Amino acid sequence: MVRSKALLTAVVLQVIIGLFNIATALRILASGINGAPALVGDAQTEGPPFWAGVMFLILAIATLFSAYGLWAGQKWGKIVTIVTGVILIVFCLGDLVGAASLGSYAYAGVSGIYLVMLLTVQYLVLRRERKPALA
Amino acid sequence: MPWQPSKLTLDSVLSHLLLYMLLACYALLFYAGVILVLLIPGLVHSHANDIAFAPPWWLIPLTLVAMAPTIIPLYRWLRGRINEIIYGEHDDPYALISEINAQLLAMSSSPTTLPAVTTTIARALHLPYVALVVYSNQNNDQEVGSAQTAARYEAGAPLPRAESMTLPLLYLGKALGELTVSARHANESLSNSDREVLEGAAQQIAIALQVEQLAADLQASRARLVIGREEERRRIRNDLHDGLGPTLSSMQLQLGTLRNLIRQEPEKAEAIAAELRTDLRQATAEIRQLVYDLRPPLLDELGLIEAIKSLCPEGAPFTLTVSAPESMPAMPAALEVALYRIAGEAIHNVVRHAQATRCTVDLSLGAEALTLHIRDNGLSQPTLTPTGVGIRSMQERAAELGGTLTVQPAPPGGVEVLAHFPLNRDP
Repeated sequence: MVRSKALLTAVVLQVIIGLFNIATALRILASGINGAPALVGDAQTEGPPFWAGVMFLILAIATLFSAYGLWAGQKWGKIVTIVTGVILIVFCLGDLVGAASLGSYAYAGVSGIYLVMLLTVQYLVLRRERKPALA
Repeated sequence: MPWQPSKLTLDSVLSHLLLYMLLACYALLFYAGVILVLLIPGLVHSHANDIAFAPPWWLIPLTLVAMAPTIIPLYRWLRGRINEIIYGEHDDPYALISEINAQLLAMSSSPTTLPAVTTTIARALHLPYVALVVYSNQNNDQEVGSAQTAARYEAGAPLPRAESMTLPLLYLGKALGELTVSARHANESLSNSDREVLEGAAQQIAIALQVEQLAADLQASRARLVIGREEERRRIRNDLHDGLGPTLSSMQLQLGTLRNLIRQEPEKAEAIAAELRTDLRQATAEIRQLVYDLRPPLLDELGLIEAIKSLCPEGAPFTLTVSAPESMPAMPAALEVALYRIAGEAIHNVVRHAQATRCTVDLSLGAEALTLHIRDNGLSQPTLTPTGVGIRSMQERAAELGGTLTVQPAPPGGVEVLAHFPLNRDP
């Protein structure tokens, strides 16, 4: 199977997103057990609930799973990528706006980069691969 | 039941779900963008002064107005891409081609199988319209779209404003038909994956059509063989029944009369005996002609080379030179007769038309083919009509044995006949 650069880029970004989400999910899950360091926002809102950590973990696994589907050229890979991407974009938007409003520009910057990666993956999945026309 | 694509399927639900999720995500993105661009200083100020932030009333209408021009183009683009992913992506394209191939392998006749193949393609790829056109078997150089249509099979109906694609059904460069499909929605085109599957399916259909055509040609050839054999038998029967039979019957009656008259009227008996002798001579000539028509006797008496040499009539104005390998392999009787008849026709043409002084017949043997080359130094006919009876009969004799024959001017003057016969198959 010949994989285009766009597809490879989407796979790499999706893997990075998935790993980042796993780290986030584990941090959220661990904060309820060992008192992991809270983010700026956590101090204001008393931290995300445990179920959020579970949800992020499931999303992260789904993201990595979709990366495999993209790599294998499967239709379900693209569908799962779109679904997980939409959900993560919504959460990311909340993080971005919240971080900006709280003055945490570093966190807003990270969220912005994360958002750009998510949007890039969505675009790369949705765009049509160019192929020579039939004779 | 005529093919119609279903409107409510799992794929259609998933397609709409993804589309509206992405549109909702876009709306939130746009809204967040407006907030970040226009309202962050206000947000930061509110937070710094511990004041509750309330978005102004004009924010949502402003967002909607700013977003409105982009929503329709984005909707169309997303719908096209999502439909392409849902309907146009084929995780296992070879499974679809295998399904089509299985139907083609079981093809017993075009009228029943090809409509099923058309419907299978439409159903498997969720296409609203598939048309399969089979060309009539008239010539070998048919161009796509220009040949006469022998049959047309359709599934569904074409969508207005939807892209359609036509694939030629080619086998070894010969166009046997065409496959036309329509995109799934208006203003959309087929995906690359769709094209790959359709190209594979077109190749399989072309092979199946060629096989069917070859089978039909074989059956027609067998029928011609049987007809030709029976016609030959009828001709021989008629020749025997109408010619030789009455002659022998008449001779039998004359012999009876002769026996009665031989003692009583010897003069009359002698006259009858003379008639009998004439009739016998005529019967012998008829038998000789019958035998010659079946197979030239000179081939058995003299061999091929000497028989060809004997084709030069006495007093001909040209010298005939026949050359061949010293040891000619044993050839099938049909090949010997074909070589002899072609050489005879060509030499006959030299006598009638060429005004030549020299004519050469050369037999050469290659690894897989035998070549007969006949050349004269007479007049070069500027236009050699391939439809001339003599030339056509020579070409047919060569074609019957899987060979080829060409007749062309031979510079600086004269005409050459070149015939090739394969040696690796039994005629």
